[in-house]
Amino acid sequence: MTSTAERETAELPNPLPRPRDELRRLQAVWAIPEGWRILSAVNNSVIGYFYIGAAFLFFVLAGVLALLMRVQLAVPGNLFLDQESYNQIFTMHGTVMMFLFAVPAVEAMGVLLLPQMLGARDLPFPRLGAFAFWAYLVGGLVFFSTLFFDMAPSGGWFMYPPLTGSRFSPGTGADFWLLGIGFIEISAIAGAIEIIVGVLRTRAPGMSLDKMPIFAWTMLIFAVMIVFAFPAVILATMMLELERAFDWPFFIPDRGGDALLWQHLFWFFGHPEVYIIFLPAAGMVSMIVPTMAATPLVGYRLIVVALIATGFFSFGLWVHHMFTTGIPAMSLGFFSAASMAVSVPSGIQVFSWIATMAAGRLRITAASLFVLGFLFIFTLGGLTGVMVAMVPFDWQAHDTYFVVAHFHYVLVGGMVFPLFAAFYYWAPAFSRRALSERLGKIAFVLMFVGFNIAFFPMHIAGLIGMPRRVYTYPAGLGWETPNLASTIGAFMIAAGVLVFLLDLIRHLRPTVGASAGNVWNAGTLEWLENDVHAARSVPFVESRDPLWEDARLSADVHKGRYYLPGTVTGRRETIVTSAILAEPQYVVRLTGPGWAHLLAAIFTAAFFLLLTVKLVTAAIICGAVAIACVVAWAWDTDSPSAGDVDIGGGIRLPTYAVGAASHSWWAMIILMAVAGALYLSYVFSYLYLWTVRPQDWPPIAPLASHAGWIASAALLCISAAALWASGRSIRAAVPRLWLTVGLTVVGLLTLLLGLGADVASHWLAGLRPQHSGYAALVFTAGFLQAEIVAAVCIMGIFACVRILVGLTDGRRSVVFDNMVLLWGYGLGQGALGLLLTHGFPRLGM
Amino acid sequence: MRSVGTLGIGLWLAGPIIWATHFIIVYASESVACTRLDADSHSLIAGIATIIALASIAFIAVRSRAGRFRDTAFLRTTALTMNLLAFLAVTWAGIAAVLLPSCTGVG
Repeated sequence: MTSTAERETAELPNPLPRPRDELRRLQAVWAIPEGWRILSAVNNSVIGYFYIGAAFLFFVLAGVLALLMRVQLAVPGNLFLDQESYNQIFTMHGTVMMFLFAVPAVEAMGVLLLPQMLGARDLPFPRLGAFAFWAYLVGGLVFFSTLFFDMAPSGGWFMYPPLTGSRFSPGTGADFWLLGIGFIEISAIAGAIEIIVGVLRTRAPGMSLDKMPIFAWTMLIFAVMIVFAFPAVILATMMLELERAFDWPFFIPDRGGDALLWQHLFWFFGHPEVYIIFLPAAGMVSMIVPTMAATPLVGYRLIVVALIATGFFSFGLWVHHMFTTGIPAMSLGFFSAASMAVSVPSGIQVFSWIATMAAGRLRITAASLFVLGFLFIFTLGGLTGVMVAMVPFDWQAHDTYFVVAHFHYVLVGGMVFPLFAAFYYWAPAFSRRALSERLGKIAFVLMFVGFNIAFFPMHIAGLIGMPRRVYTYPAGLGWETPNLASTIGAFMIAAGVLVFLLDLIRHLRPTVGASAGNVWNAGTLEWLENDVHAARSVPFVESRDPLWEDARLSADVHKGRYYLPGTVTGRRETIVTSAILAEPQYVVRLTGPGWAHLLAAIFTAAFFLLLTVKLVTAAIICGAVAIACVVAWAWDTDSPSAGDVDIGGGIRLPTYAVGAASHSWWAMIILMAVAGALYLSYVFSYLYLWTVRPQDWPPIAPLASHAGWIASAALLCISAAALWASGRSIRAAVPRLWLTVGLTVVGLLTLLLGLGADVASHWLAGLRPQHSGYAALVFTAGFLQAEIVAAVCIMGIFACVRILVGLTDGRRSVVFDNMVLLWGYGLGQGALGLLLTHGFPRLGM
Repeated sequence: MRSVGTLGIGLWLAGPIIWATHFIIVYASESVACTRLDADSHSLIAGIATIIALASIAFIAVRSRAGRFRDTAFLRTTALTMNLLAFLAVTWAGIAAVLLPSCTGVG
């Protein structure tokens, strides 16, 4: 490590003085659209503000729902809400808090903080991030307003069938949940892809993985967990919607389905979801504690290990939500043991924070108070978590208020308190003024005391037998006192939130160029002097707390003495670095403001929401418009190479990259991982149903003839050959682009026909998806394959048109390469589907 | 810190990956064993899987001290700690799988 003294003599990458109009040009390309046109902005700071604001709005809305419930339960036999309204309200409270507040809020913090923290100018796919935000906002608002029309779902936030099947929930409420939330998860995945590529590929030069801020580690693991966990619930929602709309009986036991399958899929997502929310919050704490204690984080490596281990272990816990469903003894013990194992890495983190506080001197600020509140509440929630991980105890406490108390301690303690700490901590980096310490402390006391008054008595109410989700209760059971206390506590929390809102109104003045600055004397890069283009130049990072190590760094960065002090191509740009060592690889040009992604988001939302109310024609039109908007948006994203450019320090970088060096390639690989996780969830569902309902499998059900799979496999082989040949022809010494286009068209057609042959063979054998759970699953393979084939075809047509008009060729080939990747994935998935639906039943097991 | 490549990242995460593999094998084989084979065969499968998993984690942990991560304290210590945690988690879950009766409900 270079010390500051040595540094003074060392040459920095760019000399002073900087050219006169360099800064002006940089600001011009990054300028935020004025007035109402700000809706077209894509910059991470603008979208980050919007995103956090929207998430906070949903927090307040869902909080109001909680207050309504607490009013209803304050006294026995209350008539404030009727049963159906109460059911809708608790369903919406849980759903909105989990899907519209918690996940988007941490994703929003990532969007806002990561580029600055990593020394990038922006995230790598600005329009994708903006699309994810707008889709979430529009979809979320429409979803929430179903409450006002008595059309909201009422089956609980985990939507267990058969209660949510069409027999017991005939209205559109459940459809709003399935299509609305399924679609918002797609937006979360879009954000996750952007975050993974951003963290791995756009860090400042020198910021190798072992120097990356813990918050970036947590966002990376958060996003990877989304990639693997969300597909399970997307598949589940798809299947339940197919059951409700077209009578495919996945979850109906009388017809060869299984209701527990939903629980497996839901909790395979739902349990990691808890950690998906918690890890970024823990990451925020790991940033705040060292600053407030003015000492580096103790046990950086141990925390990284704990985060990764939590990421893995949290996928092995889902059955502990199902301890009372009658599963075998061994599974109970197995998942009980796994549930306790996950507390070890969480414990490592808690001890690291305590050690850091002990190593330094913790300044008692509003932010540190919220962190201390988090430690207290979250640890209590962790302890009751170990209690409910014990099977005999869980049988007593399951579905009582004890569980309600437990998960509010974990979620509010583990996520809401750190988020408020983060608001107080980071506000000076993004606002002209810091928030008020006095109001912050008042808000903390109200929220902390209120929280414990509200939720601690729920443990007791649960232990003396109060079930969750009852809309009222009779007097004389001993439930009156704890319930009244909970109601009083809930209003204290609300008062705390009101004080915070008052603080926001009085002190928050969002800005991109004139923030209050590093008032806490923090050590990480987001505290450099930032503008709309993030820092003026991109620093070289040599330690975990660069601002502490090098007192002059901030000034040198601001003068433009580090890399890329201006714009070298006249466009928005950032440096792409290697994933592990962060060595500079190329300069990527980023997209600027636009309308296509905004329209795409609105029409995508419209597509899903119109399907809910069965306006199919209108929905299809909106879907087509959404696709057209995506095509328009993608059209100008693949800029040709602008030659090599100089970023300073004698480093010349190319401006175009293909293959594994390209950030676009990485995004495509992650998207394929999402699709793969979705398909594996499907394979699990198929095999799971086979273990519980083998009597519905062939030979009882009709089996497709050999001709079907042979034809389909042959077509897939032809498609694979065309794939290979088109790839060769585009890169040939003498490119024959017409040949490439021809081969691509043939390949896509055979891919499509391969799918058709597969589905037709089952159909001709007499199988119909309505027959049984087995039959429905067989056709689901075709349904999932159709989605991939449709995406490949759209991308293929897009690539062919671009080849024909001369915008894509063997060198400028990112569009073509991405299509080829998904095409290859589609071939693999198609082949696996054939093995499963044609091969597996023939094993004769 | 130096680059370790894709295989290196796989080795770095070996402990948690082995944990996940062990987990899937023990959990999935129960359904299959109980519907197609018998209860004893599942205890045997779980026992063998646990021993193999623990042995592989120990082997990789010992090897990684000398091998690919020799030069990098960050990768070496983090890999070792992850192996330790995975060893603990596999032991924990493995004991439950081997000792508890398969294919029966409780009570």
